[in-house]
Amino acid sequence: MSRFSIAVYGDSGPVLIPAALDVRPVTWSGVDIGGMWDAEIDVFGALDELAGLTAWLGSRLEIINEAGAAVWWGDIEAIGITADGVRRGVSLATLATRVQVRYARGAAGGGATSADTDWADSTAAQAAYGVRELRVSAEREMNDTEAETYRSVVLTALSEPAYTLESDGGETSARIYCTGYWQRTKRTYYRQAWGLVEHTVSGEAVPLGLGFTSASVAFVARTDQVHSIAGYFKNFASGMRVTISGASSANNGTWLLNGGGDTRAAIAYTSTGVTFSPNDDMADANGGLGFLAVGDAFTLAGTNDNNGTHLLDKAGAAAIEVSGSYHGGNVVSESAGDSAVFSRGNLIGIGGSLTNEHTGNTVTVTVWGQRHYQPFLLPAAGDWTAARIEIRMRREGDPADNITVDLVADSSGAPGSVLESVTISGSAIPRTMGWAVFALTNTTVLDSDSGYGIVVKRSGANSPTDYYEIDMDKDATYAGGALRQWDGATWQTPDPALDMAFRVLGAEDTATQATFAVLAQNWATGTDAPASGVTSPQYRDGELRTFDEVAALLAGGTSTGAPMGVKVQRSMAVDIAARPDRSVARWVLRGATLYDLYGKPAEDGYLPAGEWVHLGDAATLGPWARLSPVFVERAEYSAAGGLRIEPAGTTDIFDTGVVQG
Amino acid sequence: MYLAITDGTTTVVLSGTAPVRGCTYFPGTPQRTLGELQPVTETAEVNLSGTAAAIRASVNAVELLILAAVQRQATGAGSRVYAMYKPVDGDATTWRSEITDGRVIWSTNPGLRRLGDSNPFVQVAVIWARVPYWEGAEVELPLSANGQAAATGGRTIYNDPANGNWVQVAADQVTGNLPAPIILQMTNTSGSSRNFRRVMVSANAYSDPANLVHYLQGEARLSGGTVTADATCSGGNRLAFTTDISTPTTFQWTLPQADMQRTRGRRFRILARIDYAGALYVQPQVRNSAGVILWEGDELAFDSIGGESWRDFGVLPLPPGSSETAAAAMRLGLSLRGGGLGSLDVLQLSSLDSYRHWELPPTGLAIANNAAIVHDGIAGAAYSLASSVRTPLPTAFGGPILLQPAMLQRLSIVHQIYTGAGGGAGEAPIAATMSVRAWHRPRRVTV
Repeated sequence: MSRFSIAVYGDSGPVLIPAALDVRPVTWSGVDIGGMWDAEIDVFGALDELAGLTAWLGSRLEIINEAGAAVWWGDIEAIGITADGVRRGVSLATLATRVQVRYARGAAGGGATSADTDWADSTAAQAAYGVRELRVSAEREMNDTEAETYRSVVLTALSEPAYTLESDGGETSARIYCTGYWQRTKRTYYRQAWGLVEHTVSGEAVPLGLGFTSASVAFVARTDQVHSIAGYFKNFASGMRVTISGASSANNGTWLLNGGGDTRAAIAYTSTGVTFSPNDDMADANGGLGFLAVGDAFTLAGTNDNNGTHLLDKAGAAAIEVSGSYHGGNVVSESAGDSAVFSRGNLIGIGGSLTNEHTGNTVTVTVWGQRHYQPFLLPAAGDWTAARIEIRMRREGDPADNITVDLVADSSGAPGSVLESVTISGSAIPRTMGWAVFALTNTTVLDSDSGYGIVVKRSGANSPTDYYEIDMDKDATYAGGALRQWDGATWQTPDPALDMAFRVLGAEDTATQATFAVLAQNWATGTDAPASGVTSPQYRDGELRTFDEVAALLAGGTSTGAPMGVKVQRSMAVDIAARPDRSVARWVLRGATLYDLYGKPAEDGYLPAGEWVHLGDAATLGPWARLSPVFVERAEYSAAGGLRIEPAGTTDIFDTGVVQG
Repeated sequence: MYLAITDGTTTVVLSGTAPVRGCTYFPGTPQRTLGELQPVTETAEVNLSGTAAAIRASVNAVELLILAAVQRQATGAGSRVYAMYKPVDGDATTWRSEITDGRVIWSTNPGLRRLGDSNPFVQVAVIWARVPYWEGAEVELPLSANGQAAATGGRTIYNDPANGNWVQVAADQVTGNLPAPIILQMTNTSGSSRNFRRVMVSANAYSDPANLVHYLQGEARLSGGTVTADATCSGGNRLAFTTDISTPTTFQWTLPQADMQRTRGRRFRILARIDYAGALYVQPQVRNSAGVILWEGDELAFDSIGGESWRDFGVLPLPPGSSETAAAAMRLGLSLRGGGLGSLDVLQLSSLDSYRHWELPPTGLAIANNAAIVHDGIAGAAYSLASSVRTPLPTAFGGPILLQPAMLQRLSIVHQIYTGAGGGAGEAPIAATMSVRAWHRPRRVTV
């Protein structure tokens, strides 16, 4: 009779184990990351009785020693029944009750994009075996309909246990294969909607802090153009909206640019060979006026009677004609000799009606977007703390100021109270468009019941040459709020609408994240996880299974440098904790038997996985003494052979392994 | 000598009933391997004379019984087949040993198998494999209990370690020379049907059961918590306490030197009658008399316990390591973490000389008043018994309850019932009673 017995629990409680069956647990194991790992149990009896064991598939099983102590617990994952030379197997290992297909969706004109179907569920299988997800990749390019058909094929094939049949001349018996509760974390992909709000559609660079104040701005009614004699319009483009102030009243206001991109640099040309003749002629004996184009406003200085702002009517290197009506008078006759200075910059076109205005007024031209405000909403119910904001942007020129990002409460689509603010140097903004990171303190709580927003602003004055650009979605497809732009006085709504490319990320203690990941599977009766002291973004998009996500979190260890482990208790409570210090070693392994520090045998069948265990006698270990105790990464118990452990960090120095070239 | 094989219905006497004339049989002695007795294979040389038909009928009957034995082993069903033996015909007791396999071999001497003769003399060898012990007759054990003298027919116990939750077997009642399983019948005498949820039985043979104090009242802790009078609790009080999820709350109880000199390093399971709302983490400890931790068990997690549950807090060596008669006093420590309030009534120190735990369905198994839960360790069965109808019980943990030969011993029993969803008051009623009876068959290696 075996020293060990089993208890089996179905959905409605304990399951009667037929007295006719001789149940013999064979081996069981536990690991540092997960606790109980796997087990195998032999059952002997009549074939008719053994065949009934398949009803246990998916049930919970415990291995109990003679003292009534449970030494292993987990789920029945597969059963093999051997009789009459045949081995009948049934397994849940490949079961999938929820399926998604990832496929290459053909695109018009060639090429393909990756796409996922929606998940398809087998509710009947889920009722019997729970949710077990599988994302399969199609082996060829598909359209949506093909992918959904393939999904149905996979779900139909895998939503039942896998039955196998093979030759086996062994004794009439059954073998039950079990997996520890922790392996349930392999059943689903982990999704965590908390910790990320983002809109990454981009492509439209919109300036931040582009503008200037200058006394050399001229307005031309005939062409509805504004000229910057200083050449400040180089970076002004058609489609931008600008606010002009400081000019004569008719030219002030907000304008939509229908012309821009005039990249001509400002030129100041001096010549002593210029002759002025009424009514509109200016001739340069040096032939240097070719830089002036028809419609250019320019200033003239250094003459006796013709200084001021002019508008070019007829171009030519040696001779030009100007508009007397724009200048407010005809050209006055004047001989060559004076050093005449012709100054011309660049221009923008205005979608509106300007009035003529010469240079002289201190005019401020501001492209909308002296600041930008992007409202946002949390995409999923809940609350979390914001750890950082990422803005896709670049810098133009060499701005010497800083960029400040305010995380604010939204107030009817405009910025409300500032919740947190972070400033970085403008030099930290990339020159080419990319993500700029603004780290927050991870203390501001964002709640799905409230609206929030991001204000991006520069600390210095606007500049026509040294400013920033933010990558925007010109189709404004973000549904969580409409971008607003500061024109220097008012939060404006751009037309057409825009949305900022942004990301707001949360962060959470890694141990807490691990508990959330486990609890999301709805099987753990509870979790206990002291904080690791290490935070990282908690958002997960469902690419990896919970098992892998948690393993990665635990591998990061604690802030004190200790690795973390996890155990699932018999009660299905999950304990996550830092690896204990080696000074708290509780066990000594001699041969295949585990003893406590007082020399008493441990519970028969006990697995010291995740524990420190002394090996050998320190007095005789020599230089190896410092290695004991060892940390047990895996322990396996055999009812026939006793305990075997696999210490952490033990590599066979004589096994060179495979060297990857 | 008397030797027979029987399945309880058909009996073939191998030591004399015609046509059997007699046999030569010397019971084998089992060997021990890794501390366990191994099955015995042995031979009875049987002499028969009579008509050929009678001889053939007798041999056929033996072979049919052996077939039944083999089928019993293969299927676990059907009658068990025993070798029945007493060395002297006049002995009062016929000992039995279950046969698991066997065969009959006719003599290879032609003179001993002349069935063509009118009254042939035939010799056959009956070879069998049997279990490595002999069992005597089943007898009910006189039991004593708290305030009740030893008697058969049932002794009353309460679901309260401090108020007699034990029955005692006198040393001279357990004869034989091997530990022997028992039939333990626990009859619900509470006056009404109860939905039994779990039953725990522990046997103490080696830790001076007559004198060991096998419980610690919650209110007897050394410090901490608040003692609250409660007539529904053992000792009339309970220990109310609060816990924190990060900072453990530790309570300590004195384990007197006299008791440590009784337990002498043996292991004890801590069963606690406790009420706690929310998740609770418990780590049992053994400390020295100054409070220094000597031994810590695994931290155990419990989901919301609800009202008045018996919970298993793990196994401790008492005291750690020491088998000395001069063991010092110790302390039992319980390190508790959680986010709620609780109250601890009593701790039972459950000896593990043998231990059995029946886990019944979550909503309990209805046991009518005067119906019983029966653990038949002799037959390897467990069932509820009502009006002579047996209903098998599902899961049980641990080995069979074994009585140690020639030793005074006690069986301590606690149970929990189901009173409704979510648990609540009255699930471990201290006033609930059972009437306990026990039977055993003494086991011997040789007879």
